[in-house]
Amino acid sequence: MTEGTVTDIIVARAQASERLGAAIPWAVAAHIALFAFMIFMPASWRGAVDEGPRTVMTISLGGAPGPRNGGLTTMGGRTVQAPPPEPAKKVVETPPAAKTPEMALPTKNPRVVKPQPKEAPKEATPRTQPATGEPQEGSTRVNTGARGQGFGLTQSGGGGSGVTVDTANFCCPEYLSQMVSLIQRNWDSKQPAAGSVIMKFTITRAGTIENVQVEQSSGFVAHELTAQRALLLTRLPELPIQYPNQTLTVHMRFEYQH
Amino acid sequence: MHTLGLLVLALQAQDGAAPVTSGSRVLIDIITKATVINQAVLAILVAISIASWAIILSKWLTYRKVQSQTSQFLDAFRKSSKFSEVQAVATTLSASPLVGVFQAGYAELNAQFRLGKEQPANPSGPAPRPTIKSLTAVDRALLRAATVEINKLEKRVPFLATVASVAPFIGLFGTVVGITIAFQRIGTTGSTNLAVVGPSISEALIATAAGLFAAIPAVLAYNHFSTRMKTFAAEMDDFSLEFLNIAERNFT
Repeated sequence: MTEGTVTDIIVARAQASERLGAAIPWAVAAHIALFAFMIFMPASWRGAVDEGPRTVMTISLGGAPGPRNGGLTTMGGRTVQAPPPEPAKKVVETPPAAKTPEMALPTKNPRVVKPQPKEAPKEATPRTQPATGEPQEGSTRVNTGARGQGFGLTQSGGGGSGVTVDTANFCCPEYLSQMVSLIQRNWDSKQPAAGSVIMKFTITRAGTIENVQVEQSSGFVAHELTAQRALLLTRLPELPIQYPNQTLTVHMRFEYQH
Repeated sequence: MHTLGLLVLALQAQDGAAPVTSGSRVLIDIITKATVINQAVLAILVAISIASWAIILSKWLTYRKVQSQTSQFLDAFRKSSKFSEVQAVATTLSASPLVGVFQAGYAELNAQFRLGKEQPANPSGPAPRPTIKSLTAVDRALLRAATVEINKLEKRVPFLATVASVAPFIGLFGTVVGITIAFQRIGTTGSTNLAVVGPSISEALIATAAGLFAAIPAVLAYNHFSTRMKTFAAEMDDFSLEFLNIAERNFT
């Protein structure tokens, strides 16, 4: 090459270009590795839903106690009025056809009967209305067709008025209300000291309560024991079919008021 | 009613109890259940991506070699006092573009010397100092070599620019087709349920993701290589001028 002409050298240099062939297998291998990494990387890296603890709902029975009316319906604390009866339909009456008056002789000394105003039937008299005109709480229940907010948590006899329900994900609030009432039946809430205990437990598909743990202690062993006893005694129905998971973890606060 | 004041329930889904579709299935499902057009688009994009990665890899190795050999060659060139010594070193550093430039210039010088020897001006006197007839001819030879070297360095790099600009469009095409088909499916099923719409749109969008995946490394590599190439071209220009200076000083 030392003695070649300029053109020879240039042509030789131009032809001696690098080959791509050696790099292709590496590129293929890199792609396969990346794809395998994407497939086998942990689900959380891909932004999959973290299955860790998350609050599904919060029920709080706080605020001023409601009236004692036996509960049974969330409408219990409110006055209910029946809807007004529909006005009777007016029937158009056709007047009778005019009759020709019979020919009769007038009687002598006809007795004039004074029309007496008829006494109205008892049912027609209006009930005494309250002087203020405001509706008052009645003693009878009226079926208004209104439904409660899912949790009839006034079963305890006026548990409270402030009920906030955040049913973000759990399908079946009825199950929860049932659960609460069943646990309350077994719970001895009368304790000498006030305080609150948060218990954590798991409900299996079959309805048994497992893994009862004290999550937040009140400082009194008696509180924890009664709460634990209430949970262990309770037999719950099976989890609803609509609920997809095998278990349901519940955090429940037991509030002891002296 | 003397104890129950506050009752708070916080329900939780049990850790890990939910039936989680395993991650490996999701990606494979998306690809296998995609429409044929989408699969073709994905295949094209994967092929383009492999080609561009191969070019990036080979160019990266080449440029690294070029850089190290160029600095070695410049060292040798500046230390030696004769072009013949440099020529001996040059054959071992053939990756450097400066070697091509040097060899072309050296060949041109030799050719001019040979022409000068054929017509000795004074045969009885001492061997004459070699002189060159035309410095511009040497310059032209250097220029030709530099052009060839730049072309060699640039080879296949424009493909990266093409990938960078075209791959997102190919991916977008796949997505648009996929969404069109998804809407048709919604129309035929008559359901706007997310369970019907979601998977189809997810399949469609994977094409755009693949397009971006192919394009982004190509853009980065193209910009990087362009900068490197400018540096190499500047080095070659500089070397050519240096070579011309030496030639003018010694052989005219």
